[in-house]
Amino acid sequence: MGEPPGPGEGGCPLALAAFLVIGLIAVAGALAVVLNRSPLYSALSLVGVFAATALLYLMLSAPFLAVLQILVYAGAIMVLFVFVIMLLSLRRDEGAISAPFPEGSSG
Amino acid sequence: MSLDLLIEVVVKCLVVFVVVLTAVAYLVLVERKVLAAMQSRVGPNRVGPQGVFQPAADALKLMTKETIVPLAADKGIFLLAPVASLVPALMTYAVIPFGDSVHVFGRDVALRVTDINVALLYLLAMSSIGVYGLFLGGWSSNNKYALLGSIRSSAQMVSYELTMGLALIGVVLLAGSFSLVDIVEAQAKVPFIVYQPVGFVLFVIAALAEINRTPFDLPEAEPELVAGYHTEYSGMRFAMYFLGEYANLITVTAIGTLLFLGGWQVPWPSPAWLAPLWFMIKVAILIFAAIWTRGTLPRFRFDQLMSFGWKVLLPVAIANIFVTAGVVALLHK
Repeated sequence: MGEPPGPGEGGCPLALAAFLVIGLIAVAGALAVVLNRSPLYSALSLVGVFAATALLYLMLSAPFLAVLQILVYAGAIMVLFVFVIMLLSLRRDEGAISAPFPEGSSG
Repeated sequence: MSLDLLIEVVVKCLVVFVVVLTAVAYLVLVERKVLAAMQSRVGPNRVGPQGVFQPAADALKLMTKETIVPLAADKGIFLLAPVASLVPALMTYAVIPFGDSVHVFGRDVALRVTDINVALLYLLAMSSIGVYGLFLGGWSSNNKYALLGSIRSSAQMVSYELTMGLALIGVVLLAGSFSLVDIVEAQAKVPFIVYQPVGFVLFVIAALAEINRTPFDLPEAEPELVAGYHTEYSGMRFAMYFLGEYANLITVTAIGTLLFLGGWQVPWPSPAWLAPLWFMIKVAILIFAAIWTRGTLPRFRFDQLMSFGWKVLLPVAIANIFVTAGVVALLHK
């Protein structure tokens, strides 16, 4: 396949289009992290941002960095974040934290 | 990219996808049959001769069942979580090599979808991403048993991921590469299980815990937790969790074969097109061992599982790395 062209000038139009799509996903995900009211949705948006960043690294011919981005950030650090959010049962960012197992919550 | 290369890649992807999904479907039948034989039962034998069409019947049943979403569930995440569990499980097959290259239709075709130089790290990354499907499913169900099951599974997977990664470092030190093809080719004379017996034992234990199989199947301990994280799932979404679990079983046994058992290589001379057969036989032996384990061993208690992982496996894995690194450094002088 050869060297994949970077997203700069002189790259092929397909690479530019891919860069724009991935970049838009990264920016939209970053906005979603800040604007979401539910902490869990914010955390999951951040995972999306990391995935998009990994794809950008891949486009820059840096597969090692891309895999580490997924392995360390999306796989380890965000798992810890989501784990804590789940344990605290933070459903909404609206004041009171509900008990981990509220009455009648079983399905 | 030329057209014939594109066709080659698409055909390889399709073949791998179809083979893996068929293997997963039949793995369920094989597991039920083997377990039945170990427990002096007959096992499934109603659909077709000796029950060989059971997977088709199961698939038909699961596809026609209704997807029930609990009223209090977080609907979006509830519907997406099974997908987040299945997709990373299938993505791992992109880097798993089944053999060397063969000559078909006047061109050399490598028997793998792709060979990247960080393939082993990619596999570890995909297995760490797979945790999301499990605990998002448990959390979004809004059911205390599902939540407990998913908390257990994520705690267990995060703990044992570490041991698994460290157990594989010994092999990487010996082969000097993260590429699975390089690692297999480094075992041309002696498979790494001879040089890394401790690493292999650590890998087997950590892998069983990583894919939530007996004796580490606490996330779905049915006497305590109904069915764990997928208690509330039905129909095709339940099937996705099921498929993901069995796809992961094939993945870890394939990693074990590639890293410790010499991959597709055999001690006797063999033509290149037979390589996938040897590879599959080795994987099948490891899968049988996993089913055997399930038929033999009882389940751990959760505190035993955690103290075993952190206080026994992790120090041993680190010691193994130090010893291996020391020997490699001495031999290279």
